[in-house]
Amino acid sequence: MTMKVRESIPSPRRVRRQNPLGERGIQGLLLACALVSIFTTIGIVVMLVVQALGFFRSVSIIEFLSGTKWTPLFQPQHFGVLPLVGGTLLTAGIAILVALPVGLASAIYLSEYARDRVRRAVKPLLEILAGIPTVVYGFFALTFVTPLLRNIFPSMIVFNALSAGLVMGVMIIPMVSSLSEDAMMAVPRSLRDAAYGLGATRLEVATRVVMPAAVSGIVAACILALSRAIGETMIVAIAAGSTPKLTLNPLESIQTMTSYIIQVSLGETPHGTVEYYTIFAVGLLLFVMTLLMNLFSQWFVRRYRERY
Amino acid sequence: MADGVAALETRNLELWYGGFRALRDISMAIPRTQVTAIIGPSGCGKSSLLRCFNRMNDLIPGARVVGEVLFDGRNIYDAGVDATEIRYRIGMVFQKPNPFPKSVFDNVAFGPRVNGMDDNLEEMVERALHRAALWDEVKDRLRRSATELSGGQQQRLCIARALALEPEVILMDEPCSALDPAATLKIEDLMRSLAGDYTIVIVTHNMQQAARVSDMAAFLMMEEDRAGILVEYGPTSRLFTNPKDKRTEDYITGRFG
Repeated sequence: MTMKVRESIPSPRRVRRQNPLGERGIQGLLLACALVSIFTTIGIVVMLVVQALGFFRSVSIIEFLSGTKWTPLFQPQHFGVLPLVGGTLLTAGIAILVALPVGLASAIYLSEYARDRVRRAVKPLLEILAGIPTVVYGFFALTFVTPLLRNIFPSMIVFNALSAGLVMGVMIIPMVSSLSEDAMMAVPRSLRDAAYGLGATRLEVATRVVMPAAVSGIVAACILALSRAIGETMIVAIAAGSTPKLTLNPLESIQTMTSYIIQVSLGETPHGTVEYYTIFAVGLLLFVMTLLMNLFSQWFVRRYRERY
Repeated sequence: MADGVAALETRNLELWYGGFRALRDISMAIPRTQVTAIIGPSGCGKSSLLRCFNRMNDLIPGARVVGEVLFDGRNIYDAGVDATEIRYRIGMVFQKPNPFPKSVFDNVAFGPRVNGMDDNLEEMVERALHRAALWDEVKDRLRRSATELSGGQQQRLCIARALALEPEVILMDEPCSALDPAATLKIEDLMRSLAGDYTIVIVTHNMQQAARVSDMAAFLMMEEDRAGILVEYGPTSRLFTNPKDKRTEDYITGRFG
């Protein structure tokens, strides 16, 4: 019975034929694109490890990780990486001290206070900060921020951790603010209503309801920004100096892991020497540091993600 | 209705969302310590009216109120009235249970904490949970997340959260629309037990529910221009058995809406 009814209605003729071969071809192409980045990563890790092994044949890992003097380019050679790690953490630490409060405050403003029109105008403007080439930031730090700071701290060295860190902080503000704001905007309206309904002020709603509910996204944003600061090269290479020194004094000249790598790769260090292999050891350590941070961030997001 | 008996009173209330008038000329007095139901078809402005009572519409950009809402002898829309003070004296329960993703205890303690009443917190929380008929079910899991509770328990938790502030009025916006019949019954029992101590205003699309729980009922509907008007307002028993307005009769007998 039903069959008959069906047959009586002329079904529209299908014009576009599926081509199974084409479909499979597209799938393969897309897969290949996805694999490019995976294989590149694997390639980089292998290259880093192999070259770094060349370094660790001459210098023990213990000496590398615990030594407090870094003088591979002149005699007597010392291969203690801590001054470079210290310089990196000092500049990145200053950067996050700037970016965390400013970025979080902008995120709170954009998600809880700003009207829709203001948000739509301000957010892209903030993100432009992230599009400025880092070399511009570097010269901004060296030629504008440093002279300004030297009026306040006359003893400050021209190349110093403070200017580089501050400017790097400005650079990563949009990462903190934009990702945190996304996390805060994802907190449902109903939770805000509940808090307002209990007499909470706007600030209390933001700090006691929205931020705790968005904490996983906010922490992820901060860690991403911090690993960006740790890996940042141009600003520190231009403005922070090239003096490996284990210090907490931000007014001094330091050297970060990244700017050391720049220095050696641009210099005249002969290939195949221990000095040359140092950059792979430093690079590997940098890679491991950011990898650990990203793993931590992923674990944190999974552990504390709220399901509303 | 004599002055002093009304917990809340609206006078020629109008609500605008930008250029759209959502409510027109609403004048009604809500009696103290009774349950008042607001009924009417979808989109007629029931929830919007309810949100006028604790200035929740302030949070919607472009929303504007004309006319007066008297609470405690004062127009809550007067300049100089602090909306957060109004909201802590007039509690609200929403359509979908919306506990904070915090522990059961912290949910109930939220109101007292933001309003600076944090001494005797334990006692306040316990009392509120007792009043909301939830204590026995959660007393052993106060520190566990509120999102682990069932939907009906979550809604009673939201009522406890409102009760912790000892409000004078509790506004309920279709509090059972997301709940099953058994959980609905518990909330209705709870409403009856709270009336007498608290003034309750409930928005509901469920006429049986309005008939079961309310003392007073207000029937709202939309006019041609989509503005909500108050068609009829009176004691529930009268409104449901002997409506004065033809439109009320049509609605409650199920002829439209």
